[in-house]
Amino acid sequence: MGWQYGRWVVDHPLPLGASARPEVGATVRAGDPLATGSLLGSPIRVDGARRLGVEPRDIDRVARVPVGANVARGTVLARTGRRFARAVTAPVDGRLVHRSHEGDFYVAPITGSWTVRASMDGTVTRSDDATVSVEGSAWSLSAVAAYGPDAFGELALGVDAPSDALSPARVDVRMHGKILVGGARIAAEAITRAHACDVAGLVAGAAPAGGLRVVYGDDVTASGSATIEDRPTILCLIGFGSGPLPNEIYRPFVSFSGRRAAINVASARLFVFAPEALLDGTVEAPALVLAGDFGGVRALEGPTSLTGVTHFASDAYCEGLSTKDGVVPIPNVLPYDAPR
Amino acid sequence: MTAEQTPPPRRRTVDVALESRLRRWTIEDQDGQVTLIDSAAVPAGEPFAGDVPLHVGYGGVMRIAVLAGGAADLERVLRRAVLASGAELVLLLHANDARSFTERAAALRDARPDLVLVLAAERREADRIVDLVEALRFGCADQSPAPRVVVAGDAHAALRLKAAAATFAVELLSDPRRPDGLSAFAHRGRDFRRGTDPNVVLRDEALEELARLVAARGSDALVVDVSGGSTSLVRASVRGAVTAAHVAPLGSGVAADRTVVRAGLDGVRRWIPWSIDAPTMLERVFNRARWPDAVAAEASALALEIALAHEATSHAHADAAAAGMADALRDAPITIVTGAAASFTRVAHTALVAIDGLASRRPTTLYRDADEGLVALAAVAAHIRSAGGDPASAVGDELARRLVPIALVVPVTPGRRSRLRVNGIEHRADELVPGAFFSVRHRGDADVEVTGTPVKTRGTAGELGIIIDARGRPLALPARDAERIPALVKWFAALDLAVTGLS
Repeated sequence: MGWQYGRWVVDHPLPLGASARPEVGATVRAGDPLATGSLLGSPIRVDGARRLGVEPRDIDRVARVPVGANVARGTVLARTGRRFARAVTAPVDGRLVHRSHEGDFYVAPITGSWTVRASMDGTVTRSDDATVSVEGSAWSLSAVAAYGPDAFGELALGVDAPSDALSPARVDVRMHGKILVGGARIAAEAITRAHACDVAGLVAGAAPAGGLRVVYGDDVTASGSATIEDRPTILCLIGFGSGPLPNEIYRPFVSFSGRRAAINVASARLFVFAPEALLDGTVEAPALVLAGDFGGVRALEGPTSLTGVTHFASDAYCEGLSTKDGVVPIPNVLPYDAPR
Repeated sequence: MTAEQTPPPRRRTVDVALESRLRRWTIEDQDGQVTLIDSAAVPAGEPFAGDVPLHVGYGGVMRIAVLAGGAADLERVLRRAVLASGAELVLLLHANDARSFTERAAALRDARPDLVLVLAAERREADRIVDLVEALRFGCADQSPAPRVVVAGDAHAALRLKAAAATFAVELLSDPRRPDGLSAFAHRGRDFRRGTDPNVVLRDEALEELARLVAARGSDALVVDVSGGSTSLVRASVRGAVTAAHVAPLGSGVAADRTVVRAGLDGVRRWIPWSIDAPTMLERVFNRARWPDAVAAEASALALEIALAHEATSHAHADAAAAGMADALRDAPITIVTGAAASFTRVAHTALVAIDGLASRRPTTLYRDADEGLVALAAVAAHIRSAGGDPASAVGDELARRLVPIALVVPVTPGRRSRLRVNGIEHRADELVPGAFFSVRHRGDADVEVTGTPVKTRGTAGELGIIIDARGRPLALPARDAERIPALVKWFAALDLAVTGLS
């Protein structure tokens, strides 16, 4: 498959403390703020039901402030309406973040704010404090892994050929805010340079695993990791190490150059917001082959033939496939979009 | 008068899930006796004509968060419960956790647990654990699907915790500190992972059944299973008691990257018998992790898989040790290796993974599975047992045919005058000194004695003969490549020579 035009639903998980988010049915555009919220400090627990002398299940009846509202110090959180009134007030400026099952209030000071941006042009189909989902149409390309925060910007080519590596020399401040397309590999230095030049994101056939470890920490895995902190965004399309892009995948990047695009890290997908007619969507991407030493991934090209059970250099016996680069084990050949 | 005709044998299929493919076994059932006929590797989802196959799989992933009191012994129990259930422990929050309410809630939201175990060992801990449950409500109230909550422990505290977590689906279970509670929690976890298909046997269950069947023949048995995405150590006693640690994600295939995160790059690299730089190795690990059922076509890739299997085994054992099961899951008179660690072409590679990964201090007879046959057989047995039948009579003969020993492994700390005697005959061909690692050609039963040491054992040798391991415990590898690589090459060569030397 490879490039596909279609309707996609993209989930945007939200951190704790959302204060504004769109209604279901609202229209959003990739890159625009989708939800905002507060970074919360250590909350203070305030006795509620016990202090007011009501049952926990009755606290709703006497509460004056909804959970999630900002409060100033002294704001009445709940109050009984008897002749000798009893009230519970906010101890600090902040936010009423939670109400316990025993009817107590948690008020947390606000220490900062966060913003989650949409990575799809479309309509909001789900909106709650955990996730906002957006459904829309776009060209899309799946990848093997993505790292960093979601990224948005114009697509720009950073290499001249699909087998080239994106070198640091090709990255400069003119690429600011763009999603840069590399070829077979992103040099480790290009990642840090791109981040310094405020490049929105990097896309390439493969990324150096050692470089990912340097940038994202020793816990980084091959499954990718979505973050909200300010880190580089990297999309590895076919593998790690070296991964020359097949022409069927690279050529559309040339056509899409200058178009708006977004990288959704959680789903490891690139979305390009371009008309459906711009590309022939029936072009199939070739199968991929894993190198015998697992050191890289390449496209399966040229004539092939089955070799039956074959003895490989590792002493393994397995059904083989003869390719122009030698015989490879059949399980090491997968369709481009195979789940992995 | 006519002779009663023997009914035709009934054929069934057992699919053993690998990473993305299946090992499809055809089995024959005649007069209540099960026989394995043949097998083939097929892509998952390949259509099958006939009865619905029995499927041996890993089940769904169960991400589990634990909210518990602060007692150290409690943590051991909790770890044991999680290891028995095959779940992935994504967060362990103690009542005395230093983080704020908001930070705890954020950690729970990020962890996205499928199941939350809330355990109050004592009544007086209830208040602090209720705070943790409130953090769960704050963090995961809108999670979809919502996590299920299992409450256990002191009865009064459990009722309070149940009330606090009432916005979720809550169930009460027995205290996992009791054996019945541990078993109930493991079953609950497995039910969650298995789903509702009656023809699914979890790989954990099959491995436990395999250990039980082998132990029923008269010796405690330890099953070491290293697969692409999980690693299990299971010991069964002659009386049928099972101790198990199923660790996921940790393995030599699709979880290779997680194994490296646990063990560190140098931890894995030290088992590779040549020099390799860390970035290159990491790229290979990442590609392997994202390529299910990849075949190592070159020797360097094979060495990587062997190194990953070593570390997966030793880290699974480390997890078991943290749960207080260290000795039980290492030293057994019979050790059976299954999964990816048993699928290396050379038997010697399997033996090295088991010997070095476990670093057992006791002699053991080593077996290995071929093409997941023992796992398929054990799955049939588990299916029979779950239906109320006695699997031993049905699969016993086939099990005996399939269990072929590969080596008798004898760890020893020799003295200056120690001598090795096999069946009473002194072995002089190899020097028995500290650090020695060699194989004595022998097949069949053997009495092995090392004079001047407590080692006097009886076991069964196979293709690799009797492996004498005097390298000491814990096994230490030199840090410098110049010393480490020759040591590894020597150990590899010791077993390979034994293989090639046998006629």
